[in-house]
Amino acid sequence: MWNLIYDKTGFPLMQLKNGPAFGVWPVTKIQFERFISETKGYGDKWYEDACVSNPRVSYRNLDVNNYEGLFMSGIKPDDALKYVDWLGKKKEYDIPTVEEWRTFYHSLNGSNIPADKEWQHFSALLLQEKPQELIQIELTLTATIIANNISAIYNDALKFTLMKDGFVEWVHYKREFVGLGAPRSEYYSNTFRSLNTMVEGIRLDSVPKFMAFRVIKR
Amino acid sequence: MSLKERMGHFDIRETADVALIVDASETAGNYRKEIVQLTNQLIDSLPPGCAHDLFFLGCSTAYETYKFSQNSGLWWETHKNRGSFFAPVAKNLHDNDRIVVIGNGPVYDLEDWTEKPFAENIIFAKMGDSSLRGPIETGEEMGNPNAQDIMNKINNPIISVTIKGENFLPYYWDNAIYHLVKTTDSNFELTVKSTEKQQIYGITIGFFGEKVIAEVQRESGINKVTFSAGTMLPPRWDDLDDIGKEVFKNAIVQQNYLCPRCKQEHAAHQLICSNEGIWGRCVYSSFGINRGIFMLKEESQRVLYSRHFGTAIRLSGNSAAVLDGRKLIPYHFDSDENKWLAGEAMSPYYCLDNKYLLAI
Repeated sequence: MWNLIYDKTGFPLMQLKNGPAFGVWPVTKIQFERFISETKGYGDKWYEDACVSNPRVSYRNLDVNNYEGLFMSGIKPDDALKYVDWLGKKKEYDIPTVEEWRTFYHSLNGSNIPADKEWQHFSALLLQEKPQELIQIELTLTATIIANNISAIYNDALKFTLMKDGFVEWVHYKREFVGLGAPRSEYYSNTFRSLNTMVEGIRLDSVPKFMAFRVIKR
Repeated sequence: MSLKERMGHFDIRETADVALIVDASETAGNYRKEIVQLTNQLIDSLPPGCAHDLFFLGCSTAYETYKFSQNSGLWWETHKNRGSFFAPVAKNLHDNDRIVVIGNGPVYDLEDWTEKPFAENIIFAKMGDSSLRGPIETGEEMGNPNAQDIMNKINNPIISVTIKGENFLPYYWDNAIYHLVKTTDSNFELTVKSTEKQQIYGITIGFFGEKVIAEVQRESGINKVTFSAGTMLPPRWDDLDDIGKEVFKNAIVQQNYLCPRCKQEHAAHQLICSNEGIWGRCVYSSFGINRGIFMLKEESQRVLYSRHFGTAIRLSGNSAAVLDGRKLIPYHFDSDENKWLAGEAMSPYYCLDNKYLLAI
């Protein structure tokens, strides 16, 4: 059902059979930092401000209480779109639409977790150290360590991918951007339901810390 | 039982390689003049023989340091506001590099790199009011240092090197400054001490043993160096002169010979003519004044000689001969006692794989 592919940052995407590939997790700060380094235009001040509400956590120090700090959150959809434009050729990557996001959710939710063999195979694949020929070996190994750490916290496919207990993620809806997903209550007290609640009307002058984004490769 | 055998190269250098990392980020912008000035001073102070590269925070491109003074303006503008991230540079750094980050304001992803061996070697030259490493206690931060302060940290001369390991016995090494030392009945080490002259400490060795490391004693303390795969140089064979050929041909058939030096008859296996000089002289003038282990072999009408690299030579999968004065002492590894046991001194012209061994 799933294949594993990697983007140019060395981070994994889950590819649905005959369908698009979704970032296994929301975009991390490590990935976004590489984007900042290579594109300029986002200086130290922008980055410091972006990390105020959700301070950076090193992947070496991830635990059940702080894992949100690994991910890039609290940024506007325009910045997310600039990231996905940088990630690939023109329009190769994007942020998902509402329908696409839900498709990914259902594909994970359908698993009989954790007994599902497919999921076990996938997570085993993800936890392997990738071979040297990968260009971004350093970041791929980083992603493997992250996978190890998160799998130690969650062995549930939806939670492992942070489709649950992660963030509210920017998604395309008609010509606007809305949010789908639900943070865990310890991070942000809320009544959102991952699948059904469409978070609308988010202020762009002060994006909340629970707003993150995930990439899709169509 | 055979011992483990390896060929290994120890990359040991008097001065570590240096990576200068210039911070041209937004938070460093106000201190551009100071950062560029210190970088230029550091480049001028780098010791000869050390390899060095220059980077900018947030970028993986390695620049040639000596071009910095002419290009600092252009390069700064290229990297201005790039972002204070270590990751792009980190993949170009080596474990033993000495790293100097010159700038101001936090390096945001430093914590990701604290477990790398090079992390302890980072010197943060803080040229403004804001820490580069923040609360991350890795390396050392210096406030507005001058070049000499930093160079004092980078220069870390070697006092001695000792290569050792379990059941270690080297039988080939390509750097003659190292001496084989027998520390106890069963242990061997290769050692060298620094001298006033500049020395090259890198060495390739062939050896028996396990867990072999080089302990490098520097002024700042001891660091341990592991080896990478090494390659043995093939022996260089030269023709023995005609007089030497006569000596050799008599010796291997146990015939006395007429000494080419004193013109008197010597016993077949006598290698030193004691009638010449205070300490005597080797009867093979082709060897010159060199001492050590020599190998001789016949090839059709020729007799060839080669000087072995090192003062011990492999005899078999669990034995080696060690030069002791002008004798070769065979050592056999006894697996029951788990140590090297010495045998009786070997006769001159001991035949090993059609080669004859001499201890001079």
